[in-house]
Amino acid sequence: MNIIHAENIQKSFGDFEAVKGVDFKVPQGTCVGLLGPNGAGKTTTMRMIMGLSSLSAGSLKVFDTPVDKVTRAEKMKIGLVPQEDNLDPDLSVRQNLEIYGSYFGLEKSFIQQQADSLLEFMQLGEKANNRVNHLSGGMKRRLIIARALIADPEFIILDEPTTGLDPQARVLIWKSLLKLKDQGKTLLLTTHYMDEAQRLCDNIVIVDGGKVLDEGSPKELISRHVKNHVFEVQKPVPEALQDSDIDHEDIGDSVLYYVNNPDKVKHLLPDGITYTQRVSNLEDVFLRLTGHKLRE
Amino acid sequence: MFFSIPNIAALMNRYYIEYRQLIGAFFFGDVLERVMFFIAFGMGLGRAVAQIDGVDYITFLAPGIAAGSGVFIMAVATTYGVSNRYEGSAIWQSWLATPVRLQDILLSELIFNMLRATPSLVILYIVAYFFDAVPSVSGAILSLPVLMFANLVYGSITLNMGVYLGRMLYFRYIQALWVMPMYLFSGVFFDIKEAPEWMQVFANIFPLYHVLEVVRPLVLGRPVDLAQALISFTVLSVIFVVAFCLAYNQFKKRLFD
Amino acid sequence: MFFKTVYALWYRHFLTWKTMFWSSLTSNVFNPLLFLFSFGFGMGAIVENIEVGGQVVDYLVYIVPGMMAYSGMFTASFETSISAFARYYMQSYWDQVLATPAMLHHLMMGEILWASTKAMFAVVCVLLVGYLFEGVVLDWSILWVLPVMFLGCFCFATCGMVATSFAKSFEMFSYFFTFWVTPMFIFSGVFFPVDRFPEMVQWLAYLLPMTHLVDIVRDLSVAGVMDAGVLMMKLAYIAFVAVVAYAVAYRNMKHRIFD
Repeated sequence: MNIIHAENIQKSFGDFEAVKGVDFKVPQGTCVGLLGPNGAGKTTTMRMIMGLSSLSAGSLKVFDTPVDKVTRAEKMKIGLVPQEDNLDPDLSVRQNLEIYGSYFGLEKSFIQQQADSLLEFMQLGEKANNRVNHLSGGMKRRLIIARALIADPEFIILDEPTTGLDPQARVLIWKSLLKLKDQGKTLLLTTHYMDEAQRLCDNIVIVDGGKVLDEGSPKELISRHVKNHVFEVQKPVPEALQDSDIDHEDIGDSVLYYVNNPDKVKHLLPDGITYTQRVSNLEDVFLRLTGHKLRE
Repeated sequence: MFFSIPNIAALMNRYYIEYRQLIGAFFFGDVLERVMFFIAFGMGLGRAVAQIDGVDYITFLAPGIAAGSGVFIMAVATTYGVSNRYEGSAIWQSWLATPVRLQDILLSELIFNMLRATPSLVILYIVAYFFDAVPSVSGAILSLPVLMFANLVYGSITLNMGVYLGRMLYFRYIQALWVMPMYLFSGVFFDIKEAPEWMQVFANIFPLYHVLEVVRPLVLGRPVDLAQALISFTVLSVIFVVAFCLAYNQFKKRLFD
Repeated sequence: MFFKTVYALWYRHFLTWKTMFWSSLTSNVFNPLLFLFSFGFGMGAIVENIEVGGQVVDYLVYIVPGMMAYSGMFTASFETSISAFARYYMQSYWDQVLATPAMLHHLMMGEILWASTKAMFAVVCVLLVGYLFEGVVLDWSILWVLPVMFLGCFCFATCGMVATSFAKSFEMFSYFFTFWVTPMFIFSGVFFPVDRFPEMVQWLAYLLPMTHLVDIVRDLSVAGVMDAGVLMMKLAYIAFVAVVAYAVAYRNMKHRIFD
């Protein structure tokens, strides 16, 4: 069963088309990553799924229900981790969870039980009675994730959950997200960190300019677009290499060569040429598909 | 403490650009509110109060509303406005990274807001003139520099209160404990001399009361007690200088320590 | 479920307000005190010929009901305009609520009912201060006044919501206060009878719900009686403004958030 099924969804704000026809699915129990540069339409897509933004065209089904007809019971099964820290600044850590839970109309005893276990799950127990403005950036993110889990949702949407955090805090969050996956939860994630996507996602959808560029598992995407190895060769590139039919991409000062067998490039490189060689990763796929130019 | 004229000029230009963008909101807030107060109270109480201090109520009210208008504008600007700039958007810090110094910023804030409050004075007098409520036009013109100076003094006082209280949450106490009492007990709406005795004594602590003692006779075309006016002016000048220095020191602590 | 969710949203505001109870009580008592002293005693010394229901009354007695209505009006208007806008715009409080099963109707009703509650607190403070200075008599007629005041505060809160639904920045509320709140402060009979104004101004004044509210509250609390037909008409007008304002605010907000 698909938790999310988007077909040709579009969204325009006046003349500006933020999303120009996106298709993707989020099967139950998987983690899907929605990747794209700033302004690609990711956040708008997330907001449409949450019903915070209406569709201009297309069909979007959440739990098999068209998004504008989602029932209260279905909305209870979705948890949202927004991009910005929108914790309630007037409340304590624990109150942030309890009051948020009350908006779902949950039983008081259930909320308290959930708050206890989530504070522990996110390692915030000691801070339970602190004001939220006294928390560090990492703690705030953990609290926002805990808050999204208050109604024990089946499906969790995470909009850049680890942006701006130090490596320790990120690892902690990754661990908890993997635990959620083990519990059978479905996750939809956006991020700018390719290592994060590679680590957490079963399937990745790359969007840019409001359209889907490609999708597949991290492995599939890598082998499809950037092979196993990448060579970055400084210009001027030797003629032998230039004449070869190896898959390559000119990025200005240097040229990237993608191959499965590194020897194929190596023997074309004379001594004294400046180059780097590494195993290719999702970052290469991302840059290849969305271009190397700066956005915005 | 020296001031740099080019720095102040540059800052004034920057405030002016901001002012121009928000001119609608500023203008209505500053001018229209005062004019509405003047007309409403002048008409509304005019018939209940036959004569006050020997003139029609609306004539008595005009200099009161004029003198009181700056109190609110200066108070809001030197507390909420200032706090926004150095805590909210931290724009002061970006200015301080240039040759602009703290004293330039503080003086510019005061002067700019004083200038901003001045059109509402002039417009109020013009409206009052059409209601036949300005007996001495020359007196009204003479009262303008007095009121402009008075606005600087009010601003320097609330600037201190704002920086010492520190948090925006507490600024409403400035409104409740200083601005409103001053406005209500300095004789803006009624003649303090006819009020209960405790109120007459109480009024003395407010600068607005002393300013009105000078401005009201001026606008009503009556002789001003020059000796008394000179004493008031000296006291207000001292208050301004002391308040400015205190505020400077406290801001220095807050921003640089 | 509707009430449970609205209550949850109301309770969130109550919880944060509770921590500031004493400072809120102080300012709600202090502000009317200032006005009652200044106008009741200072102005009262020079004002003559103020009448309610045909009988001449003390100026202090005249302004206490006006101050009650004013405190309620100001508190309710402020809470759903500047405060609600801060929660909506600065703290993304609305976004976090709308990400839950709570709907826009719940959210707006929560804000409006909370604002009305807070306003009623201010009203009761003025009532008690007025009673202490013998500006108002506490008897059974108050049981009529309080529900009427609640309806009035509800109406002002929905009107504040309209301002919030239009506002793009805090500066915009300057218009709301200049063209709505301040006129209701000075043209609606808080300090002096509306019939002192030229007929044109009186017409405009009676478009403001505040003028009707002040009329009702003053007649009920000072004279103790009011013509039932007139009372019903005035209440219906206030309710009508509230309903229209709610519809406008909802339409606007919905458009703004979801489109």
